[in-house]
Amino acid sequence: MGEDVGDLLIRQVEEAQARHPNLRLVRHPSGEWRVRGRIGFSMEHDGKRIEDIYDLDFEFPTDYPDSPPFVFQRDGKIPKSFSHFMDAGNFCLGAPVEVRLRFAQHRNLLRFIEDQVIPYLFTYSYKNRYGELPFGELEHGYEGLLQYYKEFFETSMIGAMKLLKCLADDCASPLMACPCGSDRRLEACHGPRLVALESHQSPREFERELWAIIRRLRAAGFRLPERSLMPKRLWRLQQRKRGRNGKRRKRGRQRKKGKSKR
Amino acid sequence: MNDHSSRKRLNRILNDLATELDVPPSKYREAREHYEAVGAWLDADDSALAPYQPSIYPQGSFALGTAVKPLGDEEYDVDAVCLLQLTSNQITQEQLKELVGDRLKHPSSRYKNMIDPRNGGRRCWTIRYAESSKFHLDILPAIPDVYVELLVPSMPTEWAETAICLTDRETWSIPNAAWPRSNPKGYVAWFKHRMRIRLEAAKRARAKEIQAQVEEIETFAVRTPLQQLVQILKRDRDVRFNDDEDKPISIIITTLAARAYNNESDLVEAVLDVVPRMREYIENRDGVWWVPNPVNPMENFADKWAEKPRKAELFFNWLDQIEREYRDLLTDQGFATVGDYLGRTFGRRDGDAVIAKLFNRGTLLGSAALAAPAVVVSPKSEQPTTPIVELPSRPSKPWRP
Repeated sequence: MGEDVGDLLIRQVEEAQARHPNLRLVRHPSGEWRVRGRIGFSMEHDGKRIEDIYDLDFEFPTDYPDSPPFVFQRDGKIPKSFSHFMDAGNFCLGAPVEVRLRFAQHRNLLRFIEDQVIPYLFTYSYKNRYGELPFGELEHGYEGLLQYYKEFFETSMIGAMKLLKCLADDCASPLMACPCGSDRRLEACHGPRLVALESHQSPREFERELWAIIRRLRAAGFRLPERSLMPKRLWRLQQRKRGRNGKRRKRGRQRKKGKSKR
Repeated sequence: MNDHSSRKRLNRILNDLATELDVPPSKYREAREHYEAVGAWLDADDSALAPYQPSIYPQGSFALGTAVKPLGDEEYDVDAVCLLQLTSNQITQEQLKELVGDRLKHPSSRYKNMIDPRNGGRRCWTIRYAESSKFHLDILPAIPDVYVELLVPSMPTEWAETAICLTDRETWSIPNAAWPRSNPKGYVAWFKHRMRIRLEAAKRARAKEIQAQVEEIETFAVRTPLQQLVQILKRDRDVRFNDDEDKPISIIITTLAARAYNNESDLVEAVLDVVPRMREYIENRDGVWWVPNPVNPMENFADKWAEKPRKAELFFNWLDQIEREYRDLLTDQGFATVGDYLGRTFGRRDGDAVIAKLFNRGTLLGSAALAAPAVVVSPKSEQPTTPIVELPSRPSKPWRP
């Protein structure tokens, strides 16, 4: 964490206190920075206004403000059954790349709270009162991620996966035909959207997501054109693995033969 | 928390802070090697200075043991006096300055390319060492002040023999200009005298700690509460006033702290008792502020305050402020903001290092009070508000892996 993260956080927390005065910045024994306190809001959707208060704990990653904070609840108000939590128990505010993308527009704590955290809290308060989610949710698991990319790229499922492959392979020529299947060049079609995403996750992270989506779909019985969807690196690894196993088997057999001769 | 334990708690933090600000003994050794090497060069057999038996000794914060680690890219500033056995009848200020300068810039001198600026400073020659060592050494050419007892009859005899005369480029061309008088060695002796009891105690403690004889402990290897207090005040001043040219000067801080010091045995006592007393030693002589040099009562360290009253104003306000802040830290509520306070007052680097240490120690001791997270920015209110928040035009849809 850079020298001045402390200064940055002090500034951002003081700014956030103007609207959320119960927030405090603390430094943990291990050197970790945390912001905690009760956050209230009054938010309206479809003519229904909800006021609510939650007790939260923001954990700051070592590369803050390159990456957004993780948000935990302190009061256990949202039950596990709401299920929009990551494994560590922090809120799953949306598709990972989208959380980063939105955060990166300002890299600011107050904006993050009001643009992402409060809408999430509102979602639960709303569901709790009216029994339904106010603006829907992504499907669970990697289908949900694929759904996000489909909506982001506004393409078919295969198109979204091919575009995701461009991000995973980290080499797409602006002049190539756009993988979405339109007749346009990438630069005139989905290029700008790829550019919008690429700086918010590493190729490895996109690769991991794409690979998880492929396995998920495979398991669900989809037959996919894998050669054109698999991240290049993983495809090569898979080929090499097959190749090497083949050779080894052969050599093994030869050796056996030799032995038996004696 | 009761008064005793909150004092103890604050003491621990202030000690960590002073340790963090302190210049390591290796740097003191390095500084000594540097000025001794210069002394050897000036006194070498083929030196034009050799007949005048040049001797070199440290002055300023390195001699007092009150130097603090430089902030940012700044360098360690070591001051040393180069004393030649001459009298003001035998040599002029300008000749003395050139005599020392010529030797330093001699073609076979290792310092010939290290003198910066080439024509010297107002009173000294500055030697800049390699970038990596972050040192510069100011050499002040000087001669013994043999007339001081006649001219300043109020000077105590014990200090008189170390008095010196310096050169000053700004005034030496004025006909019959008097040599500026100074007594850095006497000042160091006075300062050490003010803290002698604690210095001995600290040396004994250190000797016991490392199983050595008290005599083997070098003075710069230990710190008394007075030295630590001066270090803390100096850094507080540096951070608070930044580049303000009217900021309190080190010699005034050091003098007042040493005068007000009554051999308090720990740092928190020193901070809480000495700081409020410091102002008592600023004299008002017919409307003129005086902080007399303890070893030369004719010299007023605060002489600039008369031309610039803002200097005095800043100084008094600063004393008020730190006194209040340290009192606050004694209360539980004030202590909760100690991280904030340390960071702001002493700069993020040192403040954070102290907090990190505090936590390590707290965990080691298993002390709940110290293992608790430090509040760096406290809440503005215990009650949350419910401000109206606009729903974003395209809110994220929640997901789960």
